[in-house]
Amino acid sequence: MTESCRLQQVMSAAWRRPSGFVAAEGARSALSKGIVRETVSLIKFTTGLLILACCLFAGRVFGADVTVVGQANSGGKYSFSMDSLRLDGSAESREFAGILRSDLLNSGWFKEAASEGASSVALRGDVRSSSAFSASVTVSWMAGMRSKSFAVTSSRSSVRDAAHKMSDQVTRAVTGRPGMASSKILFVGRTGIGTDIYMCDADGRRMKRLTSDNKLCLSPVWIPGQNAFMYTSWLTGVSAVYKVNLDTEKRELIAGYPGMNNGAAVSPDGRFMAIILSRSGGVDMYVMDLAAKQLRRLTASRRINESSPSWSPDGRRLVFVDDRSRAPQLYMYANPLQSEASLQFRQTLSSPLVGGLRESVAPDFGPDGVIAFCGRTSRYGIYIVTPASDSRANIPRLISPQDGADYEDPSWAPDGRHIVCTRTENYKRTLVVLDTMGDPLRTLVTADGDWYLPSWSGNFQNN
Amino acid sequence: MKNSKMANVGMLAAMAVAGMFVFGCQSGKKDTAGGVDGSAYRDQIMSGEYISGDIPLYDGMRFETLNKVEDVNFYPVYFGYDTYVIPQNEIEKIAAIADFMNEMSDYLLVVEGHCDERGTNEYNMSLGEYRAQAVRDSLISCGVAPERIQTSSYGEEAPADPGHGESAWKLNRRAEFAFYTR
Repeated sequence: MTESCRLQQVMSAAWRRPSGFVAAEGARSALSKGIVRETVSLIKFTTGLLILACCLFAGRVFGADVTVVGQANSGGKYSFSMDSLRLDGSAESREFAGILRSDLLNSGWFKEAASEGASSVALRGDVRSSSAFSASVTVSWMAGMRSKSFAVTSSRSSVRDAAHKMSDQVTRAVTGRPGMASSKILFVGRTGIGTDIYMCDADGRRMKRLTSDNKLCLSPVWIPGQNAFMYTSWLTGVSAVYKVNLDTEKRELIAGYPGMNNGAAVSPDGRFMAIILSRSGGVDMYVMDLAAKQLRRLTASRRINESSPSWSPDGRRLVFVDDRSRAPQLYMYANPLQSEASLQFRQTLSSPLVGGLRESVAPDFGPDGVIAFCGRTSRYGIYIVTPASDSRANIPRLISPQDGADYEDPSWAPDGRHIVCTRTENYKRTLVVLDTMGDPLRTLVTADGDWYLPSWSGNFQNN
Repeated sequence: MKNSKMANVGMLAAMAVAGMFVFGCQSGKKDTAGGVDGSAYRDQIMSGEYISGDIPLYDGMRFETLNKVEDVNFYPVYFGYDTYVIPQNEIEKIAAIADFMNEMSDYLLVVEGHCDERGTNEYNMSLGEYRAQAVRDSLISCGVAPERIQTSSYGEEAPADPGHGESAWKLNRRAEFAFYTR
């Protein structure tokens, strides 16, 4: 039953992890792995408090552990300067500096200062390229009270990876938040009759096609913790879910049940997959133990559709879509891996997760436990909501512009701040990145064709 | 053997079309009149068992090993907006396919369900599946063995007409038929 075959042409030339790519931290991270993450909404709330804390802290012992979220300037951003970053004049050094600058701006936490004297964050060091490429950068902030050094080396052809890595390290050090520059985005592209799966960097660069099935394929989704993804393909004339390992470039059949196989979502620990199947005659949600290849049916609803499951960061809940109230709405499935789960599910079905919208679809649980979804009023827009046990407390917040376009298919960035989604205007679909903290949207992919159903990598990885 | 059979396909198809006015069978023995609402089943959740009336799909087809029959074409069955109920005037098409399947006893069939572009992608994926299953049920009631018929929904992703208006949409709300041999 398990099919393994080489992906054709494109995969072979496609993405390879840069060999010999080494990153080392010059200073031991004060912001150790045990940082309690705050939700994005909380950050704004606590910024003022932290500024106060930082002022007090500035006069005290240097080097104590503290989560630095504040000290943002009036625009809510750190101003950075790369004036003292010495480039050796090579094309690679200029490329590195350009990508690093662009990544820091894209992170949303930084803006460029007019000069180093006017900056709150200074990047100093050396960038060299000879037989190999290397960059050593010391970042200092809080008026020089805190600093940290990072070094990256790579082959000369992997400068882009090195710059992304440096940006994430600087972002993590200064803000305490995970960066997103090194992450990847999968999506569907239609340039002719069929569709294919594509991938690009978080800044939209290095876009490449990963499949050449010459058929319909949809719903690519990263497998947490692996350089691999699931997707649905009509390769054989019927739908099936396949796993693609990007290291080995192998494809494996995971779910080829009769009827519909779609909407795969792998649990944060990588062991289970929620999936939508119609093998029983109805469209229902199941969960598969990926090692044992065993299925458990989670819903059994005649002529009611379930779709779009997404796991909570702790793997203990599934948010999904169900249209029993005639319109599709979000519901929560508690403890899908426990045998008594069905009873709890029945209790939670009494009311949708959020009300007040004609439709709520395509939910995506973010790394901080905030759900992004597509809601419909007169048009489709992207909303975020922090699920509470009392559904009346679940007030969604619209984060996409009201500009006459439709916004759909949200997927969280690993920074818990940005969301990639589809923007449709005049039947043309492009990919854009939204900022939940208010920066203007950034266009990701606009090439000729239709680009949709994005999935952002690394949602549950604490880098 | 196979080639001579292929040569007869066109004639058989023509016979089947002629026969569809003579034969005829139930449009569906189940709740195909239930429409998208299906409210009669709203309370039947979480039993974990097949609900009576369901005909579980057959799990024995291995599509990676089957041969697609390229030269047999039947007209698509068209549907109304947001429904999987087979219109009365489309039933004859299904009867013709049932006759053909009963004649070509080694053929397997995939009923492909499609939708127009209105509504969400995921909703249309389900609606396309129900359209395919409604046609499958109808074929079963015409005597075709359930294990010979598979369903596959394309949702709104494979329109017959890529336009944006009712003239295109009415061509896109359809079930198509793909035949296979082992």
